Amino acid sequence: MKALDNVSLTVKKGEIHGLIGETGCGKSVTSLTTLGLLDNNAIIRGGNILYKGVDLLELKEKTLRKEVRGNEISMIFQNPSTSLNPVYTAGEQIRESIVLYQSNDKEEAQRLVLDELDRVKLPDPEDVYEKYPHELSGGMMQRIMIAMMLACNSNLLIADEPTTALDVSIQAQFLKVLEELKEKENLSILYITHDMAVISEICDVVTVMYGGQIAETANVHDIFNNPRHPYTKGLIHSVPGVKLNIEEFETIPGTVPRLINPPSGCRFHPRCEYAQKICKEKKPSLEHIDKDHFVACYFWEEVK
Amino acid sequence: MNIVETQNLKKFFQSKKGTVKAVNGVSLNVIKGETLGIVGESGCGKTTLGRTILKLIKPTSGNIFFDEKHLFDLKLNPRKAKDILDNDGIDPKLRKSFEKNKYGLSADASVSKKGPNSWRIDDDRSTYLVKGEENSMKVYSVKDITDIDDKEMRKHRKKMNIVFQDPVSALNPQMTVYDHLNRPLVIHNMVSSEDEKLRKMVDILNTMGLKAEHLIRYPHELSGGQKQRVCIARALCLEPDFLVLDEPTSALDVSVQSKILKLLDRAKDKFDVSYMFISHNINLVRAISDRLGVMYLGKLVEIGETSDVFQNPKHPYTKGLFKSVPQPDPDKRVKAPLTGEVPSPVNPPKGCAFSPRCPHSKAVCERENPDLIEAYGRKIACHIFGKENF
Ligand SMILES: Nc1ncnc2c1ncn2[C@@H]1O[C@H](COP(=O)(O)OP(=O)(O)OP(=O)(O)O)[C@@H](O)[C@H]1O
Ligand SMILES: Nc1ncnc2c1ncn2[C@@H]1O[C@H](COP(=O)(O)OP(=O)(O)OP(=O)(O)O)[C@@H](O)[C@H]1O
Ligand code: SF4
Ligand SMILES: [Mg+2]
Ligand SMILES: [Mg+2]
Repeated sequence: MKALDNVSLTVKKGEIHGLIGETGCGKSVTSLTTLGLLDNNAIIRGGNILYKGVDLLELKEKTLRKEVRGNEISMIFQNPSTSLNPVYTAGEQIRESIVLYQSNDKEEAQRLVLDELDRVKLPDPEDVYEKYPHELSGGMMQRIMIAMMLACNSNLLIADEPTTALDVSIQAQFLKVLEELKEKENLSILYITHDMAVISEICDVVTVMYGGQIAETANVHDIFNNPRHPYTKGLIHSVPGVKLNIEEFETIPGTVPRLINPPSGCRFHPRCEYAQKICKEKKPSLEHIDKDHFVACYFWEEVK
Repeated sequence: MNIVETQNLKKFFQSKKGTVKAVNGVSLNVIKGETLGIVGESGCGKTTLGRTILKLIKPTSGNIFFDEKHLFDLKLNPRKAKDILDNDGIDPKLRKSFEKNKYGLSADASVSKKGPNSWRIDDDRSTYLVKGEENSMKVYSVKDITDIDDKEMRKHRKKMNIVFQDPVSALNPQMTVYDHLNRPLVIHNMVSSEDEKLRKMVDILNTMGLKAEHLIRYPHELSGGQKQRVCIARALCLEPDFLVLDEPTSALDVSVQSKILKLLDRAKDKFDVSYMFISHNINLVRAISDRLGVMYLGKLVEIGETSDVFQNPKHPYTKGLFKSVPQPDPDKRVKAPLTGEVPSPVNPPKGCAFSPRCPHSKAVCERENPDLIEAYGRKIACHIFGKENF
């Protein structure tokens, strides 16, 4: 199964880059590849992952662990309950990050943990410190993950669906924290999510993936106001917004493509209203159509 | 009629720093065939409420009733009936009214008051609820599942189920999708042959947008969204009457999410299932639920018809919550998040739990905890906005 096929994207320094796409399209695999955290059954067939000019694929596991993960690039994983260690308390897990990346001093580390818990708006930091993952609510676990990642002080942050379990007000506060980090510390963020509202709220640039490939990349305003890939257009239209009735929800017809035997040519063609003969035959390449706007579709000019 | 009703339900946890009052006196009902949406801040007790209702964890106190059935109307003038129920317990008139309708009350029957307009009658066979509704008194039979043991509960379990917030921990990494669907189908005798079983499995997977080939996959071979669809398929395959959906679509992209919501909505009518739908996605809750309950720190602060609550939210927390909803439009990055510290469930603020963050708080708010009372055709717990004559 080809989970990723020719995926190229660039996250600039100090940029919040949104990555969006249907479930199973390869977003998590993309981020896991970047950090060398793929399952054993995964094979990387080609390509490069350049970080500050160094190809991460050429580094040894030991170097990745010691010098890259945490130090340079940190990640919030999609599933808090499986990413936290059930036998350590929340505080102990954050302290580990602090001790590794910030301070060796026991008392100071302790204080920094409480600061981090406070920063992610957890009530009763002292109480939460002592709690084991199973004693926390979904949103609390997710905030522990966020605190662990913030404690790393790294330069690039990969956040895979970091707010799915948060209520809107805490989510808004978290997004603010990210924006501040971006502004003050020039942090770069690759933000993976299904939530178009969150994308529109904080991202500068957005990449849309479909079936293991890049469909479109553009600045956030163009993605929302001038989408040129039929899939992006469908995605924008299926945002619930203020619909009063479930039946009004729009969906993109058809199903997510199978990656074992993907459709020929453009992988979106079986579901695409613009598809012509050529779409079935030949894969469209990612075309540079405007300043920072790239799209992989033969008929992008007709998409409105 | 209600599929589920809770009365003053509480669930406390012990922690090192004290008692966490995760669910602190919640009385609500889920009407047969409806979707009750539940929203509220992270950690306010939504998941705990769902798990307690299904008795996956033992309630600290309160009652949970399941599967209400209307039996008859009390043949007593409501005023009189109220009087009898309040003061005289099992009065001969009450007994007669039951007998006329072929429900004899046994000798040891007893009455207890459960709310301003509701009473409970227990005898050695059944539990009855008597409710005053406008100008009549109605008698219902219910199953009180509060204190039944696990064995007894297992019989109901098929009828009430939950889809968890986090699909990953809900699936066993050692088991394939087939195994996950197989277990409930076999335990509850839902199928008579391997053939029928496979057909049923594939059918339910298809409706969830998955395919037969997924049967042999292990959880780590599925994407986040695929896992959640397996969880929903597993819950629906038992054809339950009541489903708690705890953030069922937060791991799904908008298109698949819309599809699944439509499907859940249709399943509701087709199988007569009722939902309690917990979500942080306010726009989604708005579209899918008939009524909406807003929780804050273990308590309901507002509950009513979804459209009413949205058009005219009354509780200051509800208002703040709706204002924090992000809009899918990069040109409208206006944020009005609720300010202030999230309160501690171990040391909740005195009086109204929302008072330290509430822009309208008055002295009374810091002193007394407001009750959830009827106003504007819904129920509101607020000293300032919870009364119609304000
Ligand atoms: N270890 C694995 N073995 C086999 N297949 C895998 C493995 N990990 C992922 N896949 C498959 O790779 C594809 C991409 O998965 P990925 O987790 O990247 O999706 P995603 O875009 O993150 O989806 P979601 O939004 O649902 O999280 C999916 O079809 C998934 O089933
Ligand atoms: N087993 C437990 N032991 C101790 N405390 C617990 C336990 N389970 C839950 N809690 C506490 O109960 C409170 C409510 O948790 P719950 O999971 O119900 O919140 P929630 O409203 O579902 O939040 P979220 O939106 O984040 O999922 C939290 O303070 C949590 O820490
Ligand atoms: S290339 Fe063809 S099939 Fe693919 S999105 Fe464009 S028009 Fe549709
Ligand atoms: Mg993923
Ligand atoms: Mg929860």
